[in-house]
Amino acid sequence: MSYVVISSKEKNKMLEDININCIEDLFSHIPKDVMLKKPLNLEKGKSEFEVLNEMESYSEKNTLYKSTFRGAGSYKHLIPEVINYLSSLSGFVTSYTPYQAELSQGYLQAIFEYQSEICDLFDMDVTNSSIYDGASAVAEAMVLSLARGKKKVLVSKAINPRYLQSIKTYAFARNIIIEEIPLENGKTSIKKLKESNLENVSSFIFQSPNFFGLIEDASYISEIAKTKKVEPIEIVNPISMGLLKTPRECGIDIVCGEAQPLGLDQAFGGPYLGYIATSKKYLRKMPGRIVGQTTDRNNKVSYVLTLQAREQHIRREKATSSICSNQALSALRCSIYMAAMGEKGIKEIARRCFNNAHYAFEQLEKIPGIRNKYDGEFFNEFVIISDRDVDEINSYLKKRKIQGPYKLSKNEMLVCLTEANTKKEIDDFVKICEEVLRIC
Amino acid sequence: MEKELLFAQSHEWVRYINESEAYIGLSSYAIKQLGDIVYVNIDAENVDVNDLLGDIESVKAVSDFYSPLKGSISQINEDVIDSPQLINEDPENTWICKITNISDSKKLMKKDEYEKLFEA
Repeated sequence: MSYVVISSKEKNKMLEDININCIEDLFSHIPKDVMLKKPLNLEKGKSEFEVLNEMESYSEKNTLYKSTFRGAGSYKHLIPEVINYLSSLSGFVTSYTPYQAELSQGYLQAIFEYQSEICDLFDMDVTNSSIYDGASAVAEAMVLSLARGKKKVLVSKAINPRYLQSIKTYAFARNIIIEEIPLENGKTSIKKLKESNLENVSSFIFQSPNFFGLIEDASYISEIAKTKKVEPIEIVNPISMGLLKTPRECGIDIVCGEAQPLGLDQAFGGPYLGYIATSKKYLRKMPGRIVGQTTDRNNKVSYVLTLQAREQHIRREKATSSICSNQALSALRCSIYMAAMGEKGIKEIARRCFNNAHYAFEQLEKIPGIRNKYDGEFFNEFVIISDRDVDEINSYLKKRKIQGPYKLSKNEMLVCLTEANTKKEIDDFVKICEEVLRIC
Repeated sequence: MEKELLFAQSHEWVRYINESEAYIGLSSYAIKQLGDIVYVNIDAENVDVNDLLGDIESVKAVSDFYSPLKGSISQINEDVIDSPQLINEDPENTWICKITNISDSKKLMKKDEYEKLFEA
């Protein structure tokens, strides 16, 4: 099916049919005094090459780093070329999320594959066809978890602060009370969680590996929550699934987060990809749409929108979500990434992230003036305290085209390593940190 | 107090336990119209007569479930939440929720009277 701009003949026929002379007549009800009386302040058209030059001059303003040691929610991983190639096929790039869903069999198949892979990765039963980003996925997961008459949701202080902002925005509009559970040595305080009043609480949201890179005891947290009929919600970095226990193994029924690490560029913060996966009991509360596989009248495999139980165009005022569509192109990239990597590949990447982070940690710890902040086990990020200001260290690194760690406070930084960091990069990074600290 | 089922024209049934407590369910007629029930969701806490209790989703449609009574929802049949098809198996013996502190009621009728409504 092609979409073609209407011809002037067709336009005139349409104007004739509705009995008006020209397009402007359609806006005749707009008061004259609010209408613009001069042409829009737009530059004249430019040639292809002038535009290219101008765009290049903009792109030169970007700082391009050779290597990065910053994560904090957005991660640089290696992206195999097959992802760029396949996802740039015009059939995928030019189509928006399928509104005439069944017409777009190719896209539905891609989404179906994506869903299957996400469910495999987290060992969950159900996922939707994707959400805008990690923050909205977490907030939607909170909405999904809300139980009748329970107006409170607890949140660990060690989740990504940006996710917390989204949670609070959603909670405000729904009159949900958010209570934060304090930390102990960088992790959710189990003691405080046990002591808190879990009456009237729908769910408890925590992240593992948490914002400080530390691995939370998801099984124990889940057990504590469930004995009080509180639903635990785990935010997970998908790459960590190559190494850590799956949510199901920890007794978790709702998992959500950011899928950018699976084949998406950091791209200055977006577009990213949120995922939310659950066990079967939340099937009908799942926001967004779920694509299913079936057979057509000729018995051929085909794909359909199976469920969109909670959406505003289905439920009107009783909808619990307003996602409606999905993040199709990002989900496609993610799907190709998972297919290209396979179980073995994701395990390998997780292992390398872990090893690189632990190697860098050991090297940094040897530097006088740098020390470890938390002693818990971590995945690919960790917090160090330095005698020099983080800003100072980062400006030295920037001169060498290295993006320094994420600044948590004046002297605390969150260091991130992935498989994209080579041993030489890590050694150079450590050496520069050492030099900066020696100057003091 | 009558222990038999009483029906509202809007297809809910009520079984009083005593003056202030009762179980609520959906009539066989309504369930037959709806087909296989796949999801039951009760989200109300205190309801007036005709307030929304929640919704019932069948393979055919999503239907609102309105309260024939004024009161508080004190219990939800968890078995039904877990296995909605129980309603299909025996609609008039499968309660969906229990209402207490009943202070008002819709016009309710006996089964034969209710069934007469659909004879035509």
